[in-house]
Amino acid sequence: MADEVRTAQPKEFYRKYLEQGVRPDNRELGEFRPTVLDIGSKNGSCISTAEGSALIRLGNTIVICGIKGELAEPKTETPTEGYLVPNVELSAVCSPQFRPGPPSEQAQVLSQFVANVLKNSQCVELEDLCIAPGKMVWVLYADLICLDYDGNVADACVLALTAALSNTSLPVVRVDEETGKTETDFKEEKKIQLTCTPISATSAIFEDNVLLVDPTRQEEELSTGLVTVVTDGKNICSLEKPGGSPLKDQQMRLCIERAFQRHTEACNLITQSQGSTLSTLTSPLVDR
Amino acid sequence: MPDTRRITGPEETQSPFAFCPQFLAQSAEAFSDGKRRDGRKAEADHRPVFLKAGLISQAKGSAFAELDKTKVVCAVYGPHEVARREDFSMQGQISCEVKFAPFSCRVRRQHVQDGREKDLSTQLLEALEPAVRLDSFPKSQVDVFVTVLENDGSALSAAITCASLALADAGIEMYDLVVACTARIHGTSILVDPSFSEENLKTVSGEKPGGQVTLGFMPSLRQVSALCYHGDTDLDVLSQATQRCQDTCHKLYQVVQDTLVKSVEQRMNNS
Repeated sequence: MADEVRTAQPKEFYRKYLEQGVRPDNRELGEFRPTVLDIGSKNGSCISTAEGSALIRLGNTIVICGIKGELAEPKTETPTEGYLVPNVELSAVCSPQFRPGPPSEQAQVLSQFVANVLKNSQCVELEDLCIAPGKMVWVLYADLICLDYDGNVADACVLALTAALSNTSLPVVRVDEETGKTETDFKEEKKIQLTCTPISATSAIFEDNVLLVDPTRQEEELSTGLVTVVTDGKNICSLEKPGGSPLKDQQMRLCIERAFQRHTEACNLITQSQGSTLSTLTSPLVDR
Repeated sequence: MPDTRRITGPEETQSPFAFCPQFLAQSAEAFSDGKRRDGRKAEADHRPVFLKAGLISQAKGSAFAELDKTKVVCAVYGPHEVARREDFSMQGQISCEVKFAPFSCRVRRQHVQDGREKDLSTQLLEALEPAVRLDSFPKSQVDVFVTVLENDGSALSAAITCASLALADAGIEMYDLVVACTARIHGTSILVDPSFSEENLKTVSGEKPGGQVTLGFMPSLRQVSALCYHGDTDLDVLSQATQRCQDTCHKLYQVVQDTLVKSVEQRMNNS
C-alpha cells in the first residue's frame, strides 16, 4: 500500500512523513545515509591497476574513483606545476536515464563542480607533482564512475575523490639532467600529501521550507532546489545553490552547519578505512 | 579534435611504464618452468570467483563478478521500446555495451569507446543471444551494459558470465545461463583463466605462438553459445583447450546458480 502511494502521490507521501520530522527511510532530516568506504592502494584492495582508488557507497548510490598517473610536459607559464584532471562519468550502468556515449550535461556540470572543489581547496599542491621543472610533471587523471544513481552523487564523488587522493602513491621518476633520459622506479613510491580534506554536504529543499540532507533520487526529483556546501573543516571551499527556492539566512546557516558536521564524520570514516586492510572480497560493493 | 565535454589534461601524456625496463620483463616471468607466478598450482586452476547479483538499485537486473583481481559490473535495463522504427522485429533485441574504466588497465584508457571495446561488445552479444528467449519480448529491446573496473585477464569471460547472471536477475526468460571460461595456449601448456600477464606472455622461440580461446557454454543444455579463438595452434591442442574450458564452465555453473538463488531469497525477504 505504502509503495503505491509513494509512486502515485509522492509529494503527499513525503509530506505525511516530514510532518513527523522523519523521512520514509527512517532518517532524520539532517542525517546522511549509511556510508561505506573502501580505499585502495597499489598493493591493497579496490583497484590495483590505479595509483589510488576508492569506492563509496552512500545508501544505494555507488561511486568508484580511480587515479592514474601519467607523465607530460608542463605548461610554459607554470613550469613547476603538474596537472590534476577530474572527470565524472554517469555511465549507462547506473540508471536508465543515462545512455552510453558522450557525457550528458549533468555529467559535465558534475565534472566541473569536482574540478572547482579541487582548485578552490588546493588540497593537492600542484607543485608537488613536479618531476623536473619545465621538462616533466605528473598528470593525475581522477576518473569517477557512478555505478548506481540513487541521488546525491555530488557528495559521493567528492568523498570518493578525497579518499582516493589521500591514499595515492606514485612511483619515483628520475630525469637525468645531462642526458635527459627518464627512468621510472616502481620499487620506490611517494605518497601524495593532502593539505586539507574537502568534504561536501548537499541538502534538498522540499516545498520551499524543509531541508533534507543527502537526498535520495526521489527526494532530488521532488525538491525545489539543491544547496551544496563544501568545507575543509575550517573554511568553506565552495557553496553552490543553482537557483531553486529562495532560502532564509537562517536556513543557509543550517546547511553550512551540517556541512561542518559531515566533515568530521567523513574524516573519521577516511581514517578508519585507511587503517583497516579489507580484502577485495569485502569491498562495499558486495556488503554481506 | 579536443573533447569539449570533458575536462582534458595536456595533449600528450606518457605512461610511467614506458620508462621502466623491468616492467616488460615481468610478464615473461608470469609463467615459467611450468609454474604460474600468481601462486596457482595447476594449469587448470581457476582463480577464486566471487559473484553477486542485484547490487544496482536502479537497474532491472545487475551483477558483479570478480575473478581474483578482474572486476566486472553489469546492469540490465528493459525490455523497452526499440528506439528506431526500422528496427521493427517480432524477435526481441539485445544491445550490449562493454566499457573499460579509464583506470582499469595498467596503461590508462580513453573515455571514448575504442575498437577493442566494440569488438568485445559484439562478442558478448553473440554469446548471450542464443541463451535468451528473444521471442518473449517482441518489438522490444533489452540493454546490457558492462563496465570493466579492473582488467587482470579473462575480462571477456567475466563479462559473459556476469551479463548472463544479470539477465537472469532481471527476470528475462532464458533457456540456460551462459558461463564462460578463457584458456591461454602457451607452447604445450594450456593455462585456464589467464591473468593479464599470462595473456601477454612472450612466445618461446622455436615454438608455435600459441593463442587464446574463450568459450561461452550453456551447461544444462550442453551447448556452446560462443567460441572465440585467435592465435596459431595445432588443432589437437585447441580442442584440448576447449575441453578444459568446458570442464571449468561446469564447475563455475554451480557458483552462478547458487548466487542466483541467494539473490532471489534476498529479494523475497525484502518484499
